[in-house]
Amino acid sequence: MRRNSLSVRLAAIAGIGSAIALLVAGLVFITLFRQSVERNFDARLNVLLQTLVGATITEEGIDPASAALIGEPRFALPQSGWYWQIRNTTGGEVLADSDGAVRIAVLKGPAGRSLRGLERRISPPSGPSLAVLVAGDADAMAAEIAQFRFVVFSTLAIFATILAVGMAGLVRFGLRPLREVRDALKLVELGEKGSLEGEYPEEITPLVNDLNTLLRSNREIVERSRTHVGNLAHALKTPIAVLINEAKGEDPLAVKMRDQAAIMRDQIHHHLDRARMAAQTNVIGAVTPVAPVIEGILRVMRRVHDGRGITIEDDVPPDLRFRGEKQDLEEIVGNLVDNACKWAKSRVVIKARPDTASGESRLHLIIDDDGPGLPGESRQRALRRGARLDESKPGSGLGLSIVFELVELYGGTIRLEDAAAGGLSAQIFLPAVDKGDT
Amino acid sequence: MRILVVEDDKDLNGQLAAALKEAGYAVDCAFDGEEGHFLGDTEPYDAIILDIGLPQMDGLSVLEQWRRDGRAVPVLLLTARDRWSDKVQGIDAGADDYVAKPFHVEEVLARIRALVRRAAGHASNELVCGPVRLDLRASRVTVDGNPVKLTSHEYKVLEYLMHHVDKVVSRTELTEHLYDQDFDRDSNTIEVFVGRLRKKIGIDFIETIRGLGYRIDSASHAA
Repeated sequence: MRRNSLSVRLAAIAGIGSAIALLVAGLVFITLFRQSVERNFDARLNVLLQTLVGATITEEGIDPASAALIGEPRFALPQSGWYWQIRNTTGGEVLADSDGAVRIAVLKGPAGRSLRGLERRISPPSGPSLAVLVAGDADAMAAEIAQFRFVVFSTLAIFATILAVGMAGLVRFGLRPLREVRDALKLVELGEKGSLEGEYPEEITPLVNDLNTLLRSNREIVERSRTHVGNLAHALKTPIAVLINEAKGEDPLAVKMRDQAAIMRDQIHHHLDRARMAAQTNVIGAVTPVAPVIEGILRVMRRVHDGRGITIEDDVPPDLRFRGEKQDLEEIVGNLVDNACKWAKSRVVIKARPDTASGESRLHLIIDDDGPGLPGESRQRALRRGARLDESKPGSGLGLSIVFELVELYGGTIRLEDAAAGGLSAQIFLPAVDKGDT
Repeated sequence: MRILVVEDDKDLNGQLAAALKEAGYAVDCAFDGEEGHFLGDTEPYDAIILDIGLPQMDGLSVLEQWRRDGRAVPVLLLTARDRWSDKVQGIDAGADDYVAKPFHVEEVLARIRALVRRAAGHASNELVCGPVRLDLRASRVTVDGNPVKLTSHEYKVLEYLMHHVDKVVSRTELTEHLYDQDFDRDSNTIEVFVGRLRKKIGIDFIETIRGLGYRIDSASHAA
């Protein structure tokens, strides 16, 4: 998943937050438990200590035998971890102490055991001052705490897992409308839909509506300018045809009129083509199946060049798709095939292939003829913008330059090479739609 | 050869008609789709020049209608909309060729010549039968290499017959294809032209099939 993704952000915020909360809760539980366990242990030691003092220290002195009466049989067992001790502290060991002071200490017992002990000083009216110590097995207590810690962390881990699954579901469910927008937009990009379809939550409905409005107005603008361009063409071309044909003979006025009308004709062609082109580029979601376009153009070519003895062969896989406008592909293929047919002696071959050599999906068009070909110098000239090479055949003065400009506009490349059959081979690379995109 | 020009621009229509007449064709003119459709439907033309943008009924509809009714006459489309999709549409509607506006009339003439020739099954601009050669571009006729001077009517008769070699052509058919609809037709004049042609290019070249019409028999002129 990419770092800059809403899902990742939501998952990160929720995940880190919950982890910290669970960890703190766990630590608080364990601390409280430990304190409670220690308090209980100390209270028990205290009871034992009091009982011990009461039973063994009498007016007559110390009676160790009475220790059996204090109700803790573990004191009698060897190595049980439960011990008591009464020491004589007379001799100045303790400098100041209030009678009955209690000290808690963690001790090291026999066999490396940890002991928790409670000590109390007593100064009987007769006899020496004493220190009474009762100690219990601290390891058992630690084991109990460890057990509790294990249970707490296991429970919290299970809880965290459930929480994570829940959060993932929430992120998925919550972000589903956005994913749907993305999928709908993909369909628009692929040209399979004209607008974003589907029901969306109220938070993103305005966004979807705005996008649809934008797509629609984009299409309308393109459509309007196309219609406008077509109308302008129709309106201007007929009068120019009249002018061109009216100016007959070698009268200077006629010659001038003819020349000027020809310039007007070329200018109209030039600017209409470019207006058309400008209107068409950057239309989102233009995808054109290649085979129908080539078939249509070949129908035209076969009819128009019928009777000239030219065979026109084509080899176009049915699933190739050009990422761009139909009219642009028609213009590119149409002009090149038209040129090939005009110059060919007997054979024109049109091939289309998918090409992924550059890493991206491209469409490779090959148009070969067996005509006279084009010498290297003219080829160089042909590849320059707006150059005209083909003036000797009528009606094609602007054919090649528009092809080059269109190919350039789509970020494609065009090469002119020697064809195997001796004529010219035009190789065009254009952006394609990958099969995997749908 | 008789041509129909369907073009709503009066000037352009007139220019085309004048150039075609000068080239030896009989020409009828129509200025809207309906009139054009009616003429093409009822008169026997050898080719039709049809503008796409026509009032009342657009050119493509006219053309589709003709093709639906089985009219196989060669049609040359004139189009101001020179996008490839328009050309594909035109050809799919049944056109045989197209010329984008603005054009030189000479180009239209060349295309018409080619269409008529193609419709008759000839590949070259020169029709040859035995000793007679007819150059369509120059409108020149030679017999055994010697040029023969023909009047325009004699040339038209010979051209039509040579376009339809081995086929019996009736006098009515000749009249229909050589004169436009306003001409006062008299099929007897055809007999006069055929007679003069026979004198100029040889008696046997054009046969008379009694009761049916005329024929140029390629087999009898072979070698």
